[in-house]
Amino acid sequence: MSRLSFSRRSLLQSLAASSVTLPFARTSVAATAAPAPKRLVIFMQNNGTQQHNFWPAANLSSPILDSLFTDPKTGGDNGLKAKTNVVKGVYVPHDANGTNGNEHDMGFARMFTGAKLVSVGGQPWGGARSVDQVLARAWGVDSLTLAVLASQTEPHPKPGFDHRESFSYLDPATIKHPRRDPLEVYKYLFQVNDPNLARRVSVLDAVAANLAEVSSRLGPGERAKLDNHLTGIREVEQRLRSLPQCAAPMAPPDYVAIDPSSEVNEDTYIPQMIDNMIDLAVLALKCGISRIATMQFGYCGGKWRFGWKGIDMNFHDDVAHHDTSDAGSTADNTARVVLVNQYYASCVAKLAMALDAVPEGGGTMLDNTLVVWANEFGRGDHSLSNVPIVLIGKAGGAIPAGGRVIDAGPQVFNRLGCTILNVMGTAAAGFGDVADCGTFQGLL
Amino acid sequence: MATGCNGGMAPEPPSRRFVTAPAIAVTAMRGAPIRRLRRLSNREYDNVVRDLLGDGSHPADGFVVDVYQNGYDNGSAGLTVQSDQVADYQSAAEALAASAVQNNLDSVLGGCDPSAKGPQDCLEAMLSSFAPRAYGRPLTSTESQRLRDVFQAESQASGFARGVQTVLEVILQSPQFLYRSELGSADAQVEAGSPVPLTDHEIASELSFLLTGSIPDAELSTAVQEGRFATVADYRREAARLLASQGAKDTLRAFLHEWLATDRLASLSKDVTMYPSFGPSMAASMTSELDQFFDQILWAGTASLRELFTSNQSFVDAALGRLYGTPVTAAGFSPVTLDAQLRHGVLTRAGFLAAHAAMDSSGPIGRGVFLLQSVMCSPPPPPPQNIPPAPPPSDPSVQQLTTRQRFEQHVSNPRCASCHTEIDGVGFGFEEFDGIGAYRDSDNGQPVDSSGTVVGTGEIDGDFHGAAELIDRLSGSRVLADCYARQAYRFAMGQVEEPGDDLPWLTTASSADANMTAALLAIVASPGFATRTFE
Repeated sequence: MSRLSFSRRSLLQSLAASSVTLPFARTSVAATAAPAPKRLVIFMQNNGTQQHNFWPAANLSSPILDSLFTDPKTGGDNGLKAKTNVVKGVYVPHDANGTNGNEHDMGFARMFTGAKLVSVGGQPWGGARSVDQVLARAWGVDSLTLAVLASQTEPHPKPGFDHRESFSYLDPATIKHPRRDPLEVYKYLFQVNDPNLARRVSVLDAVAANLAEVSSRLGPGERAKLDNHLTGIREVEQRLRSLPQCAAPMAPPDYVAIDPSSEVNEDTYIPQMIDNMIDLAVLALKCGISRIATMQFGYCGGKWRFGWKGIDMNFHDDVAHHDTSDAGSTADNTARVVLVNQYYASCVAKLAMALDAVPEGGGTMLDNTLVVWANEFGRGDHSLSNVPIVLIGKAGGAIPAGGRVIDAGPQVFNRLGCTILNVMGTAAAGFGDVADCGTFQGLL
Repeated sequence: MATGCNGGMAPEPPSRRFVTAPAIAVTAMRGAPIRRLRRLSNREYDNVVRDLLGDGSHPADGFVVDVYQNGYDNGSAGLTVQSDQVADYQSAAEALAASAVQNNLDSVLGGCDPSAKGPQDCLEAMLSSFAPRAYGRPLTSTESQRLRDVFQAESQASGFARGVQTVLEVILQSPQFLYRSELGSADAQVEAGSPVPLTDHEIASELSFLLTGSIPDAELSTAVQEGRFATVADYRREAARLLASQGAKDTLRAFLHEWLATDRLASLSKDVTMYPSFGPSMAASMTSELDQFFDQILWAGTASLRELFTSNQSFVDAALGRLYGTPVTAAGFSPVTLDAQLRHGVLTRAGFLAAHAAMDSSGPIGRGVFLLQSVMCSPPPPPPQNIPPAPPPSDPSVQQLTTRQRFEQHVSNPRCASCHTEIDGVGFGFEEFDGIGAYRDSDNGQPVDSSGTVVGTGEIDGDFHGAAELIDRLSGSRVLADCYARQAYRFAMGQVEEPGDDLPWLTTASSADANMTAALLAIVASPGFATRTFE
């Protein structure tokens, strides 16, 4: 179906053919009794890990990873280990491609786009559509792009650093803006009992028809620009039509009303916002509103103070940058890096455990999901080697086994995008600017 | 400040100073940009709904914040619409339409009274008077029919007012409203790479948005309809008229704020222990001072670069009066004469200095990079990889040092000096001004050294002592005038210029003493204003 034809009938046909908007619990309207749809979740972190305290022995235990496998309620094992693989040796080639980007940008903007950085308007950007958007287009779904960007040290927006706001790219040099207000995400996801539904859909139909007409007069470059708009209309229409399969939960706090600067230059609410966002992402996945969710902890190279962890230092400038070897530097500094990474591990665990608690098919929702926990660096002093890549979930069986440390020597980072595509059901020989990199050696 | 990680203020490598990466360059050819759409920026959206619907509610304040690839929000060519913006436009359209039907129905219906003329006649009046203003041109028959169909369906179900409201919602979310077209006539026969003349309607929109940030007013629209907007002389006439409007004041103010990157003062954070007097209120005062300073020079002064960069006349309230050492007692803002030795023009205003400083210190590197990049159009190369961040001013190892001393490696280390001679040479000239623009003669207990050297320009190279001396040299230079011409081009054309773009005609319109609007008028009169390249 041409993306440009938006009659109501063709939209309904496309909805019927996909299992996107229907809950897993009901049989989809597709021709066969389809297996549960695959989901993708990406967590993107900044400032590296603590190498010595991250890479585990064969039993997947290390000071940082132990926080991933611990149930905070019981203090005991949460069962995720058997569904988790950790990939060692992933590196990002050191290449600014003539832009003024540094290692932060190389890691952050390349990890999920696979392409070289490009310079537009004097800033370094990712040079291709990111894998989450590739899948969103292929599946015809909206992706839930989330971030917590609040910071005491650097305001949002951060002038001159717009390129660091998101790792998700709709097109080369066109980031997908993340949603950063939990209440706004809540309202976006749970538009219930809409009395204006039919009218809204017919308005959007007319708008889409206008878009198609205007688009037909454009050259290829401009038409690509309008494509994003068309896709956006379609996503909003799909959202209007899809009845949420769960009752709306309690709304998160209105941080902006509590404190207008909360999302701009305030560290205070970060851990609550992260919790809110994870809860909303889980709900969106569970309720069939979304199949793709990405979550970003701060800006690329971001500067949180982690006051709530008792650190209260500029983590980027005064901690991460001092982690100058795999073994760490001073005991204090190393301890801080570990603490922060344990915190992030617990956030990822929260989401993964929530998915693992939902029965689906013969197992759980996590069995049909791939959760990726990645980083812009291997080490906070800008090292792009041994970037920690954690893969949780079985992706519907595409990942044959869990509980492994995949250690097959250096693996170029493009293999991450290639692995994601293949595991999600899209055959691909490579990703980004390495057309034949293959998936992670030793994994599948 | 972790300059190594933050890379300063986004400089470009010398070989690509004015080029966007080929893979996604908007301009494929030399000369005029390609046929394209220019999405309304948030500023323009608010202006348009004000002028079209009389709605002053500023819906765009809640929209996603845009990134302007060319640095300016006049129909920046890279702007797109993503799904969360679709939702933004949808809620804004619904609120605006409901309000318009409530408060402004008469204007939407073009003066037609539905109780006198009937619903169909009034719908047609809307389609022939209101809709063309929203779309910037008369509607095609398909476009009109589409709106008629929407009206019929809705008015049958829910009455006339609802029908009109729904038509409004479609209009306000349609691309004909959200984007300005620069495509030329629909039936023009053209070959790839050749110039396409824009339609009179398109040029009128282009001119109106350039000078007033909004849709053409009644007089301009009538001129287009009556064929009196077809020649360069016509364009000049209308431009002169529009420059006298309030919209022009607002727009040129926005342009200068964007050029000098003082438009984000509202979201600036400063370290509270270093700068306890700075907060949202002070930031607002700084913005207001700059607004009034710009207005004074543009509309009551010479409107020249020289005045903008050297004048020591300004406007302060009590807070700024304390900051500048020119106390005022009256409430609100008063005109003042600032220190004649020290405060030469916009680069010495608190708002500029605070916007270009670190959270906790003067930030001379950032100041140097910004000046080189945006005021001298000579961006330094990017920093080498893996530079550790400098210790912050509060770090015990550097607490006793001046800012200059903290960054001494820039001078002593040859790897740093190659670029930092140029950057610091300019940026350290402003060391007399702290991180919020207040004067200081000591930095951490030692006397401030605000000497510097300009290198690499040819025209204004040499040593100087203090920002005022640097500024005076800069303000009369071709370096500044040429750079300003480029900025005017980027603002007008919505993209960064290509090396092949024909700008010498523009640099003759720009000089230290010319009216700054002359550069904009030269762009209006140029062939590139009225044509696009076919892609």
